[in-house]
Amino acid sequence: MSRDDFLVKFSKDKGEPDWLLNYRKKALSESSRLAFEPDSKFSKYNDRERYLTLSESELEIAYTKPEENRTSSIHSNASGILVEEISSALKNDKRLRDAVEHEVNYDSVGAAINSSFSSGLFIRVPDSYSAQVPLQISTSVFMGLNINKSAIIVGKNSHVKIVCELVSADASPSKFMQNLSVRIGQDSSLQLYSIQATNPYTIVSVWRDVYSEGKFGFVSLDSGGNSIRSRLKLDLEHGGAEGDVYEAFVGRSDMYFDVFNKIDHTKGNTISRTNSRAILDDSSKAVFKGSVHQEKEAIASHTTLSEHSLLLSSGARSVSIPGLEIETNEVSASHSASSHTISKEDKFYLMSRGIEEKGAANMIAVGFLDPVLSKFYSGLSDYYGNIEERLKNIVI
Amino acid sequence: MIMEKLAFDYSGYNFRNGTDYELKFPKGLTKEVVERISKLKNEPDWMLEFRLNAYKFFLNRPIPTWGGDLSEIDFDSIHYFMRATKSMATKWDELPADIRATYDKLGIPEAEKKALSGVEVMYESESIYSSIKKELENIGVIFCDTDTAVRKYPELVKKYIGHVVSSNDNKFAALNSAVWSGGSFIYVPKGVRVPMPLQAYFRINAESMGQFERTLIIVDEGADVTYIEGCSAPVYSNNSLHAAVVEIIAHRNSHVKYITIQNWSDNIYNLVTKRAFAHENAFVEWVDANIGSRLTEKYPSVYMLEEGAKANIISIAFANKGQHQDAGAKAVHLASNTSSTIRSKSICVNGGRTSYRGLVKVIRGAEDVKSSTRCDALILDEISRSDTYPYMEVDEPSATITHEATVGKIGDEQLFYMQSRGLSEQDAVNTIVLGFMADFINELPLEFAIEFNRLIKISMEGAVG
Amino acid sequence: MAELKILDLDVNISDTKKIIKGLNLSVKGGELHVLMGPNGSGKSTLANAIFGNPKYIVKAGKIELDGENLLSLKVDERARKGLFLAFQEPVEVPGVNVMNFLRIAFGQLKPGDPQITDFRQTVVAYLKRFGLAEHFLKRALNEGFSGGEKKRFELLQAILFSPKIAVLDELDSGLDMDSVKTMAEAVREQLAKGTGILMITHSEKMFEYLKPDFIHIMVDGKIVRSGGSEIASELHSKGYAGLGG
Repeated sequence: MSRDDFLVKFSKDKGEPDWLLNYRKKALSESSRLAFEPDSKFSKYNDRERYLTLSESELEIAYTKPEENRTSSIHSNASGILVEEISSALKNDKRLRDAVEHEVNYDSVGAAINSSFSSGLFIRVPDSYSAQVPLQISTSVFMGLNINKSAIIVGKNSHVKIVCELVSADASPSKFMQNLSVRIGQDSSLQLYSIQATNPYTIVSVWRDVYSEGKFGFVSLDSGGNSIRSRLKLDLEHGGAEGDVYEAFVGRSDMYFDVFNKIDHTKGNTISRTNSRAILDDSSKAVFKGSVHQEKEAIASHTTLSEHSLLLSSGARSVSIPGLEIETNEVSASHSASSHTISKEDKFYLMSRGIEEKGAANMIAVGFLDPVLSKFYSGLSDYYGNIEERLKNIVI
Repeated sequence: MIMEKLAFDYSGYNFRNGTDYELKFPKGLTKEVVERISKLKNEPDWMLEFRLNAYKFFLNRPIPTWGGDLSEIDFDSIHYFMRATKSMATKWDELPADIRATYDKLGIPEAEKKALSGVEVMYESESIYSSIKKELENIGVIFCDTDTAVRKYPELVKKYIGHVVSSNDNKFAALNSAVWSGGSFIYVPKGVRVPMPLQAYFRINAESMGQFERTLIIVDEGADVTYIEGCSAPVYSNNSLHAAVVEIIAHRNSHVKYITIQNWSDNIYNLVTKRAFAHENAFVEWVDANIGSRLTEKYPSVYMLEEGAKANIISIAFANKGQHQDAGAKAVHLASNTSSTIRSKSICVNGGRTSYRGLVKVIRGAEDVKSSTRCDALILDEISRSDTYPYMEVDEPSATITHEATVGKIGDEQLFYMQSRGLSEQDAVNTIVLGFMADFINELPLEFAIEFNRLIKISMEGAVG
Repeated sequence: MAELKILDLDVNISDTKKIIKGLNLSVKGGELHVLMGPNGSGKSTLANAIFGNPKYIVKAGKIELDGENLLSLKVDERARKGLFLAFQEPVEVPGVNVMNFLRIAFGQLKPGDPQITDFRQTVVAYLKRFGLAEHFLKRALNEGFSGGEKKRFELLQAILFSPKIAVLDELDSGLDMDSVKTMAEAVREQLAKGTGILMITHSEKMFEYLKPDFIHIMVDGKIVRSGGSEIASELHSKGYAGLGG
């Protein structure tokens, strides 16, 4: 049997409708046509491509042994919000089907995920819904492949917070690949918090495609895994839409972070703020690829993009490319990037107050991540008393 | 000093009618064309070999796709060698009207207009240029065109040419290495401070203002020199492809400052590779203004090879209708205790596009490196475009690297303030735009600064409102 | 004698938000008018609107200088007619050299004035008078100036350009005593030359040095009380609320 045949059997066995099979077929062919990093500005930064892609044999396993390729998510009680398995949602929910059929595959890995996923969650927040407590989702990653497709659709005039945690079920090597699509309706807001703390033998690749007519807030902390690729594509498509992206990365041993944020202001009166920070120890490396685009119609839009790295030891490395493309003048845009190490004066000052060296370094490192961590505290401390402690422990 | 008075006073020069030189090769580039060029110049074998090697690289390298739009360059329809006179307008009427108009507005004297447009050719004036030459000779400085240098100073040229920019570096460096002609050769001996800026005009001859200039500047230990090329007035050429290469070797404790004002006519693709090697404690400065051309791709670079080396790169780009200035800077830190500053200012108007492309790189083991980049872009209307693509690659934690950029339009409050002091809107915009470029203008010798100011005002006319 | 007349002026900050409502005011050459009021009463808005700051929309009313309607004129045209505004928070304009700026502005506002023959000397003398070092001339306009230096520089311009009518927006706030004294002297000098001055302030300190011809109290976009200097003591005892605010 050929790979295509495996795919057909895979889809049929799941009882999927024809449109979904066609969608998967198209994605499969695009995965061989598209590049790993299609943006020519960044195409030379493709370390670990081998690990971060789904190989031929992995795809075959995905189709032929779907039971070995699954993620398991548990979620908190979410009264009023619909949470269901993606497979059934795809069959039943017309809005989801529309959204999925209109997707454009951007690169080879995203396309491969779309052709081979077998688990995921669909979350639908109705119109005019205001959540009292955050919806918590905890996803476990198992040995081997975990290919996941999830979606969040927020109606109009709704406000919700979602906290996603990604953890490893055990200490075995695994590969977590996820496509998450998000749609936010007018006058709504979605605050998405993500904490990734998988084991050191895990590869994590998450694509988040967000179309927002309202406010989108994203706060993440990535401190696990070995090769981590995060891609966020944010389209601000309506006047008043806003995007706030705060990301913190903690790199140890030979961890590698490939972080791509693509933000498009297609309409006027939109705002985006991105603040990506990495602490890199041992021989870890972070590559920040930023691409903010303000189109001609995006009058009165504002954007700030910042990428900062704190390098803690001689093997650590950082690459930042905060790109801006602006096509109209009635806007403001700024970006900043930096790479440095802990200053001797800062360490000296803390130590002169009796704090031992390692403690001083930790304080400074946590302080460096504070612009991101404080977003966790302010958004979640009402619900999780010890969030600050927990996050600091993860970082140190 | 003699130099200051000389700029833009060509009354002492001889002029000859441009049609005297009939030499012009047929279109297209082949191995034979390369051989003919070398033969015509009576070059030694090693230079012919240099060219032929480069030609092979040129054939193998693909056209880059990451920058501006190069798709319309037809390599087969270009003449790869001709005397400068043939590359320029042979009759005054042939010059595009807007260039003639700019010359008038800038108040350029007749003689200079003709020189810039190539209608007439200037030759080294016996009296003026020879006295400069004499002064330089007395202090041991060599300043001539590169063709002459290959014949008169082969050991020097051979030692350095192609070492900073290898022929295989990129397609256009390869092209230049194969068919280069003209350009400046400067050697400054140990400890010598050249008291005046050396200008390209002083050694104008038939090959200058050519398409494929090759410049090589060698500054020995402790020496100091400033070099200026170009001018604010638009320069017309009917060759559409210009690919120049500039190599600078700054030895220990030396200082080199290279100033370029580029204002090619808007039919030209201007693709330049400019790179300097800075040795121990050497300080290299690139001051680069890009005002003309249809598309410019130019990223002056400094490779800091040894401790204490420093780089300062100032880049200004002005893109008007139909222009794309894709410019920037590269600072490569290969040794400890090196530092670099990059400042870029760009302005786009009437649908023009400016792109900043920069690289700051620090290799592992290059300790205590400091680098700061500041890019500011002004977009003057809603149809123009500005891009910023900075790349920072840091493999060494002790490095302190910062980058900041802003993009926006002229502040309403600034306009209001200026107007409240009686300046009309146009004057207010001009003043603010010139203030925006002040960092660059301050680096220019006075007469250049005055001309540059005038040129910007002319370019801004009608660009507002 | 120059006269600035403001009649029934309505000024909005957006299509719907009205800041100034039906304001009437007249300032003649040689007169010192002081405009006071609580924060947010619209004083700065008035100053900016007189000059045509595009941020504010004049919805109704007239502003006339010597009988000529200013509303149809552009900002620089109004300045050239003889109006001067000393800003509350002067903006920074990078790269624009102070000396050059003064020269250009003077050339626009006072073409053909004899002072122009030794302009630099005149400017340096003024710098000294207002406690600004000579190296200020080389700096970029307002860039890196302290708050006090910015205000003193605005005052210097008011004297240098000797306008028909000058509006001074909170020029005295945050200045130390010596500077306030210098300012008062300069104001007196300019009044004697025939300039009409509208001084916006919310500090009563000024009254120790200057006796205004008129005091106007502005509250909530309107002038609620106008009178002579007797208002100063009333204000002191009753505050804005007691004066019809």
